[in-house]
Amino acid sequence: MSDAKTFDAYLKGERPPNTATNSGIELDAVYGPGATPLAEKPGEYPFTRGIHGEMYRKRLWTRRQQSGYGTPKESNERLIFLLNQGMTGLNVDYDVPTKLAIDPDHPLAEGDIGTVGTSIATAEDVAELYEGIPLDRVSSTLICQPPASAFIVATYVRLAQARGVPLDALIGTIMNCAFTQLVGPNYQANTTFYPIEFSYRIGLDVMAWCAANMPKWNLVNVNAYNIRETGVNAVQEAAFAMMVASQHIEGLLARGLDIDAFAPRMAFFTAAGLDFFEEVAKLRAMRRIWATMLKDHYGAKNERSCWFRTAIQTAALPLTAQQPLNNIVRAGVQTLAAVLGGAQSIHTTSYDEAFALPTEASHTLSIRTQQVIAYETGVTKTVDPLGGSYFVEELTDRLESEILALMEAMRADGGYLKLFKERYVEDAIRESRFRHADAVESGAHPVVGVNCFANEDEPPPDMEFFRIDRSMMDGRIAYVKAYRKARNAKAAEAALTSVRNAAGSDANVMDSVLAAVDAKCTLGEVGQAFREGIGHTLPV
Amino acid sequence: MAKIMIAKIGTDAHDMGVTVVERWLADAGHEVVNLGLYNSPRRVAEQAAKERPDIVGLSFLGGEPVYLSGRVLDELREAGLGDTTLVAGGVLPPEVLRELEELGVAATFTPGTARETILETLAALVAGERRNVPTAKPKARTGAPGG
Repeated sequence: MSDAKTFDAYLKGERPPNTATNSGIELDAVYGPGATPLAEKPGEYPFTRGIHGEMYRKRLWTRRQQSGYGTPKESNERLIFLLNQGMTGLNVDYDVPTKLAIDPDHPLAEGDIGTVGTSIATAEDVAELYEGIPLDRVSSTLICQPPASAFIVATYVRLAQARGVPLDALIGTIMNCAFTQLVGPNYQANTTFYPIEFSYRIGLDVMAWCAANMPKWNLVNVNAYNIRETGVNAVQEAAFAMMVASQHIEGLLARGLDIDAFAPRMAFFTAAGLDFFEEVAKLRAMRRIWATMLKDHYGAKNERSCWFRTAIQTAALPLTAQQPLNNIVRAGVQTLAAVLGGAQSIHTTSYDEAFALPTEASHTLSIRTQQVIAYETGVTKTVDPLGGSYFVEELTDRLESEILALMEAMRADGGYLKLFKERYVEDAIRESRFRHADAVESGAHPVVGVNCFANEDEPPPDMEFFRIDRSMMDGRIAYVKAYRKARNAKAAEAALTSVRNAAGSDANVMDSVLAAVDAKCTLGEVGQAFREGIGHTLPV
Repeated sequence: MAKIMIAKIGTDAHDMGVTVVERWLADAGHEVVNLGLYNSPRRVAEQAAKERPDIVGLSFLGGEPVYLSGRVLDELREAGLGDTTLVAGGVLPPEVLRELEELGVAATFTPGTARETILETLAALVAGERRNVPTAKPKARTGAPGG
């Protein structure tokens, strides 16, 4: 406060350094009646104002916190804890080795076992993870992309069958997006362990299998959140996500499926950034774009195919390691944007996530943040309360046209898969990252506690952080080795041969993966069989 | 100017930090060798033996940074490169920063660290102030934006 320049700034009038949205849309000082007043009602096509007529008046969004770490047993304890705190849906994350379909004893897995999600290698692990949780009464999101998603769905299906739960009663989601689920659409991340065409195809195999066997199950969730977290803006997030969804739709249509047989079971996972009105407008625009695209471009007849259903996570990118308690405020504002934007479920990112995975206490605070908004603020008592605001309607229209323009350009250039392979997406990510880093460095993009209002000598935060126990990792390595030894080796080898053959052919791999689960093959073995079947080797 | 090798270790593919730092280092005139994603500790040592960098930098978000940094140091020693300066950056809680320092990691950088802080710290390390550079703090910018 002794800084003379600071006083100068206050005297001149403290004001934001620019008047554009985060995606660069320049805003007017004030908005008046637009050309086309919105006559649309919530629950009516094209659903700009919400996919349901009464939204939260009839049913609040699902409080669905992502969780998972360590062994399946430890994760099961955290899941039960969170359900007891008022979490209403499960969102299970796996560690990266699981997502890449390598087992804990793979050389690249050694430092990552159970660190950012739970470690899964066997059907037994999945049974332990869901111990005491009714699969037909609690909806579960399984955070896994293809090809590992084939094994994860297969083990979930076998667990349900073993418990006598019919498959048509299962409620939940397999994320299952080959392009976005790992860490967003980065090129090297998504092409090293399996070729992108292969992951894309296995994703379609899983979708087709789910569409035929699990009518209440969401068969893909396009992870726009991960796209956004690479650093791109709201317009790119929405346009890339829509183009990824188009890629999946066109793959399933090419297999002869009817659009209305699967589109109602497609969903999205989007980010709520900090630019409050832009985020609300983005969600409204995405609903309108999805509905119009499904009806006009893909000929959907079922209204549910036109519902843009989205889970939301408050973006972690704006969270800071400096003055970490500020993150609680950021997440609160973002959560409010998600609610006013009409989310179906919300994960409020915890304030300590700029350091580590959340602790039980910070996880609880995230749920409480949502509960305060849900039960104390009254914002849930009318639908789309920002609808009809001159500004919000105009910003919604503007975002819609920007997103559509980018989608058109991408369609004209050959669609998502082609542009991904040509590094168009990679280049867009890199450019955004550099632009953002420059803006934070120069102060053009203010970040409180980092490039303004920083503390000269900030002490290390007085917080407890979540740490992983090394003995857990060693335990997982020993476990998977013992599991492989204890089974019928011939049956396992025969099952893996079938997986190899299916991977190398055009057949849907799901039947062979289910048989491999029955023969006690591990996830890593199935992943290896996939690679062998298509002749792909790991460069590491 | 120095030769700096940077890498992500293990299966964590969060590479925003390392992508930006790569450019900052290159813009400052350093020779940067980016090993990219999915490196085993052994691969880092093999590449270090080939490239002979002044500094090796590891980037973490997921994964167990203390264990993995220790493994990289072991592999470097085994390759006869025990005097290589190792630095680390990423999502690292205070307790981990202390443990990395004890392990022999010469400097650590947490999210929000200013470009200038990183460049100054690395320059000091190259100039010979090895092993004794304290954890690099972000350069504090107090006051209002533009103030």
